[in-house]
Amino acid sequence: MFEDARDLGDGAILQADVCVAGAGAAGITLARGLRDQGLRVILLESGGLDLDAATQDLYSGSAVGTAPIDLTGCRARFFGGSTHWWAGWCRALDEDIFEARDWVPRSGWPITRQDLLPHYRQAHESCQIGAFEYDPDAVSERLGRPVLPFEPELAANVIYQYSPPSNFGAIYRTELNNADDINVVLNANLVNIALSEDGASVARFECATLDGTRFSVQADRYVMALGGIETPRMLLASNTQESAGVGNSSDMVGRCFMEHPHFYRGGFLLLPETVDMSLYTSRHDVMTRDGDVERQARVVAALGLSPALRRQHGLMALAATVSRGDFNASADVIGPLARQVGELVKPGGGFSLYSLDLRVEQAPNPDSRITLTDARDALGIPRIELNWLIQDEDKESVRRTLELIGAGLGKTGQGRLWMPLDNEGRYDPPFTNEGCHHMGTTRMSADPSEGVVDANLKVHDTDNLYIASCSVFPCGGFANPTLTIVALAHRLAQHLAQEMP
Amino acid sequence: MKPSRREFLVLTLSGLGAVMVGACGDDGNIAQDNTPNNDTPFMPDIPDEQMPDARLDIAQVAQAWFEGADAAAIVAVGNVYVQRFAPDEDAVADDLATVVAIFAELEDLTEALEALDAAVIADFEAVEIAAVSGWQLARTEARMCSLFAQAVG
Repeated sequence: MFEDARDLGDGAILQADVCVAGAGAAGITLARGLRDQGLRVILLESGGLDLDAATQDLYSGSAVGTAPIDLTGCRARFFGGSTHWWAGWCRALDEDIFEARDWVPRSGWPITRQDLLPHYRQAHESCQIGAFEYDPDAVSERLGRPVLPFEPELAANVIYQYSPPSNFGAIYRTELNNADDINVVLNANLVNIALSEDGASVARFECATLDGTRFSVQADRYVMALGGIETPRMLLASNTQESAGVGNSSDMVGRCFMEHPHFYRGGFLLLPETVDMSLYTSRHDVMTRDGDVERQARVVAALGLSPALRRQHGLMALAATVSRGDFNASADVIGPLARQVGELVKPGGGFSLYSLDLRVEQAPNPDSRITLTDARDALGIPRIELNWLIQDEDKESVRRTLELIGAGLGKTGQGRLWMPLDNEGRYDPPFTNEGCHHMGTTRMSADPSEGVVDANLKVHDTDNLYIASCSVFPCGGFANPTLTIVALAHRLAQHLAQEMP
Repeated sequence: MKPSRREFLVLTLSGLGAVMVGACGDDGNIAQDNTPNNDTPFMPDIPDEQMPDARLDIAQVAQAWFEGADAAAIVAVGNVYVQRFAPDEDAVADDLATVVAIFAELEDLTEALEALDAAVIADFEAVEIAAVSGWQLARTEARMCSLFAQAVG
């Protein structure tokens, strides 16, 4: 059922088995999963059912650092959260992203991909995509559309699946409204995490509406599903009992902010016109299979490296999506040599240009972080400053990866790759954009001194506080995070149900 | 018949003129890409004693390997490659020697072309890449562009 916090009496105390703050992909998934386990859930949502300017303004802050981040344009603060604006790209993280990689400081998840696999399958259903299959060769064969015949020692193809995209607020609204054990409280802003006297557990979530109503929620378990910026913000801002904020004895809350830098037109390909690139340049419907499960999926191919290759060369992950390019429109980026190099690809003419948009993994960097400022929002909560840093090492990894993909393409005999380099030969993309993927700020770790949450997403410093968000990702890979967020939420629901009597 | 070194040098010098004209290509802007000014020759003058030997006519091999391609385009790529990777006569001579060595002992043109093809594949396998204005080229093919620019122009 839905209710409006503005209708609560001032000072009201709500009670449940589990209180979840944030009704986006993670919060809604968690609520549904907990309901299925027979638990009573209060799901708090800052906004209402539609976008509201005053609520959205609660997201405002300042963004500094290497590249701009849009703090209010990427995140939707109403029921359904950022799934209202989600583009629907889905892919599970590759197995190496979960592993400790000695060339990536602070890498490694305290869980394996195998641990998450059953929940990825659940997430595939929640996100309304195909079966858990990402095999480019199988997809290519079923569709009768080729992929570039890379040798595995040089480059690889990757497959994305597309969600419709699933607007969780729209598709699950009726279900939640009809669920007796889920109470969705709209216009309810978490304003403070109140700890017990000994500081070991959360005593209540203190909440407020924009029109001044104050209330609180008491539960056996509390979950923050507020996204990668708002979650650390609220932990840091809840500092009346612990001066560094809740869960921050490691001083890691807000740190290691990672995005997927999107380097649009970050590379180009020259290929003979006869090469069929349709599997890369447009989406296709295909049957996908995973054991006994068969389901229609909408897919597209992209370029990248295999985990084995990344390991061999000590590289971060990336994927390059492909679209048709135009020589004249691209001349300002790729310079005047394109048509000449084309003569190497297809003597006498008959070659095509393709543009690459890169989605790139960043190494965790503690200095890339979210901190609080003195400015306050309408609820009196400190606004944030986000200092997003892109390191030279991140770009050098891109350069070396594209070099391998270019070598792989050359070896197929089918084309050549271009990448933007500065006068020193360093990767120098013409455009750097955010991906709206805010990761790493309450990272998972086995060692409490190195992160914020444990393998079960429980905040190290507390007994009963959990986080469901891509803020828990220790490393981000290149895959869009929504599918993994939903998988983690499914897993957390199972864990809480098993843990609670 | 293979030209004498003197004849080759004359060919190269005359080829430089063609290089200057050919370098403009369709876009007319190659000179802006990497060279200091349009009056500066891209190709250093290689002394006779530094020119590589081969059983086959080097110009013929270069021409055959790039058969069908726009000559001005190949010259343009070769010029940019030299500007970036072999900016003096010693470097150019070394580069020429390296690429000519691939077919220097061969007497059959087809075998020479196949050897060059194999060298390109081997370069990509070994990720031996020359980034020519950002284009990821096999070292051998970049050197061949340079050779073409000198020998054929």
